Amino acid sequence: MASATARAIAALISKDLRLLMRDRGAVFLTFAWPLVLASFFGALGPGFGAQLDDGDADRAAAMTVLIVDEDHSRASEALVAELDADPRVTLAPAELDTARERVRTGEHPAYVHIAAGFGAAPSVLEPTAASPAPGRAVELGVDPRRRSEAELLTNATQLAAWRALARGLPNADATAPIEAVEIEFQTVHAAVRGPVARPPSPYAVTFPQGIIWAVLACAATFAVSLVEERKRGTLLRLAVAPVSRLTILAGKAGACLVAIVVMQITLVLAAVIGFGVRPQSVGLLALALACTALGFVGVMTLLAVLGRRTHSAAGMSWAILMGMAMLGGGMLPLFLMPSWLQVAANASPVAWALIAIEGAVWRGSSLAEIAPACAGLLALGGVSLGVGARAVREL
Amino acid sequence: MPDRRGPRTPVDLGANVSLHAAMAYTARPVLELVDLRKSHGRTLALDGVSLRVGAGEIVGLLGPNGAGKSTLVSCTAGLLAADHGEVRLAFSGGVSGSPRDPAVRRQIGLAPQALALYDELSGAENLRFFAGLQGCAGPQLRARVDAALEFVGLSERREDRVKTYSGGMARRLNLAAALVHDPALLLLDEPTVGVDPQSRAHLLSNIEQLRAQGKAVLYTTHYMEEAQRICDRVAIIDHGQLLAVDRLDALLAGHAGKPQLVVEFEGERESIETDDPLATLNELAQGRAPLGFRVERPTLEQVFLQLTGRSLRE
Repeated sequence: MASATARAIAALISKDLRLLMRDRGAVFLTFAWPLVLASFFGALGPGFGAQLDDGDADRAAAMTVLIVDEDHSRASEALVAELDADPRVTLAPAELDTARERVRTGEHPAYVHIAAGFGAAPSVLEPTAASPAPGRAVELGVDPRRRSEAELLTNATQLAAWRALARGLPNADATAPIEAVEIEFQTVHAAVRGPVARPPSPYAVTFPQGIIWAVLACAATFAVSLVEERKRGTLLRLAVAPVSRLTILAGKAGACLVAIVVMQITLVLAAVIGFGVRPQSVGLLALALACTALGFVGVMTLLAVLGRRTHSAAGMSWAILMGMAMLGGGMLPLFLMPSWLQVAANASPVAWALIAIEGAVWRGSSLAEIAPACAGLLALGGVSLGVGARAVREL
Repeated sequence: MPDRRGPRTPVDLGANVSLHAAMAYTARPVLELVDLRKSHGRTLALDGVSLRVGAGEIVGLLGPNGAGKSTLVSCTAGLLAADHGEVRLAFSGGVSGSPRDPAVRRQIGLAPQALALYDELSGAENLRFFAGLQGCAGPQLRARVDAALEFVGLSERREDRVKTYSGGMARRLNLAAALVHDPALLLLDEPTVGVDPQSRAHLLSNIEQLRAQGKAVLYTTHYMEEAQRICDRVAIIDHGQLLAVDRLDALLAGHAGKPQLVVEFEGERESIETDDPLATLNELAQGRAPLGFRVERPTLEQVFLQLTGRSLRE
């Protein structure tokens, strides 16, 4: 019996996904459009955090790092030039105190500090008895939660240091030691977290928003498809089959869930691989995405039973979801909203989803901090699914 | 081959047909409706309907739009719960009970009036999906899908999407989706609405073959010619009441009057009801030569008119 139900749900899911993939409009709205939105608005940059160079598409995925050069020697300038040439890094000059403050507030992921005397110290190619190891050192200031950025920056700095040294050496590889420069890590704990933290890159903001749009599009698409089934009479045929109404609803919800999860994974991969977004906690991100998906699958079932006709269901779905999105930060990032609107946004499930996702991506939130948002999404999904299931029973 | 010709039954001309008439068919009953009543709000959609459909029998449910046909089908399929009365289903192999029982439901095939198909799926994909929901799997599912497509003559278009089908082809697929899991009882709700004559002929031929296979068929229509052509018995329903249930010839004899002989002479036309048109024609032709004549057989339209006081198409 259980296996028959599982087979029926699998058949319903497979059918709905096949129908989705054959509807070009729905595919575009659900899969392509959120990616376009996230990429486009991320590329615009201003207002979302770090400023990207206009027209420099290759630098789009680069991490913006503050550079503090207090030495101003030929060696330090060569290092800065080589580091700036690394496609993974974009440098922004700053004073040391300013750099520390910006990393502390989360506005930038890291800084590189080249102290006075850097150029005067012996390089690794000039070992002395007193100092066989590299005599030159730089300080990297990073938030310890941003391990991936720290690792990337370390590698980039070592590479830049080697390139800077190799400028004057035709055969540097022959004697290359392991480290070209000593790196001293300066831990900078971000004092400002949560709602007032600043995102490290525009894409860290636009991709969570893109995920939200994808989720909303999936919810609307599947809500309308259920109404369309009722209108066409296919729901009647399903109801005559030896499967329960709840199984039918589970099939529809399952298909919606699969579509949402596939879209979430696609967008996250695009953000990480293509745009250099580094989630601060992969585990919390997975939790946030799962709760978002489950919450809005429930909303989908509720929307599906609100409208009796396709057009009214479509209109109502988008009206409700757009309202949630506008209030909840799906259009204007939450941190750019006036404080009173940020408070009001807490009423929107979209805000809950964004708080959870952004918390995992760049706010540095802990599990306890995103738990209320996740619980809210799960509760919303459960209640909506319950109401939807009740209505489907009466079909 | 089951006996399709039930005994002639008396017909109650009162508000409701007598229970005896409606239940008179003596072949192994597959479907038995007993005193069904169903209201939609203040509207009484079914008012004490009793009917029996046997294996290998096509029972036509004839009535205008809003007469209660679809409600009757929905109650029979278990989609609606009757306010009063009972739907009894009994199939070979000891499967019996209410249509809400999944095992019983597997024996029911429904072709809804709407084309209940997925336009973006192919004909074969539609059938695979519906057969899968009915519990078919593996080689059995493939065989059933192939057989259903073959049965309705759509094998060559099996991989084409339904949106490319003509109206008649979609209707045939709608029928195939109802029978792909090989049910014993078929509920066909206006299965020929909006199709061209060729497809209609194909569909009616299909339905006659289903009778030959021993299926019980409840066939709702408002096309009298279809009911006259394929139904073993015809039930006339109006305002939720079954007004008459009987074999076609019995209904015609009981409610449509005698055949009408129309003879045309020079400058005049005579129309006479007669049991023996040939003898009557001979009598009329004494002493004057008819220019032409025709015999108008009684129709279900006349039966409906006589029972309800209005035309079926009003």
